[in-house]
Amino acid sequence: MPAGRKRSPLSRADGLAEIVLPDHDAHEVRLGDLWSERPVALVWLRHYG
Amino acid sequence: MQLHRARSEFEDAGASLVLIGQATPRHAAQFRRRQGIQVPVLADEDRVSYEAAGAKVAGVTDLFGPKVIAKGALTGVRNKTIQTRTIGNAAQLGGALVVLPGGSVPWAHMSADAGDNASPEEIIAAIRDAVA
Repeated sequence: MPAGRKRSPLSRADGLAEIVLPDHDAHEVRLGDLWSERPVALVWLRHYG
Repeated sequence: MQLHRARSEFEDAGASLVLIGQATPRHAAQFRRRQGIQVPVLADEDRVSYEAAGAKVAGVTDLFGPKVIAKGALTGVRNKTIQTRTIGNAAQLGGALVVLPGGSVPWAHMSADAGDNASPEEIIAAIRDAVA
């Protein structure tokens, strides 16, 4: 996405559900599994520094 | 870290808390150790989920505007932290979503600039509203 551009907030997380990311132990996590049973707060950090 | 200190309130509100950061699992593990946090931290080196969530890539004024710098300094004093070496794209902003089973998103806050972050209290209030 170009710098300075921002999309509207999502109303559904369908576009996130199939994304698979490694966790801090390098175990793969499918994002959709995070909210399959209960609500989840997902927080994207700006950076680790 | 404010979010980690509030983790039991997330649980009390009925939700899990998961952090997503740029860079590698090794960096995520280091971040958890340094911050002393136990919540899961996912590693999104390619920022795929940032893009899918609609997180903004900042322009210059979003990073270095006077309000942003003042807010960053205040946050540092409040949390007794200092900015260390940045890992990942420094222009990438973050954000937060509450997602319910079924995939609906009743609340979202994607950062408009580097100082625009939802507080744990705001996120927890959104969870309580959503599950009420």
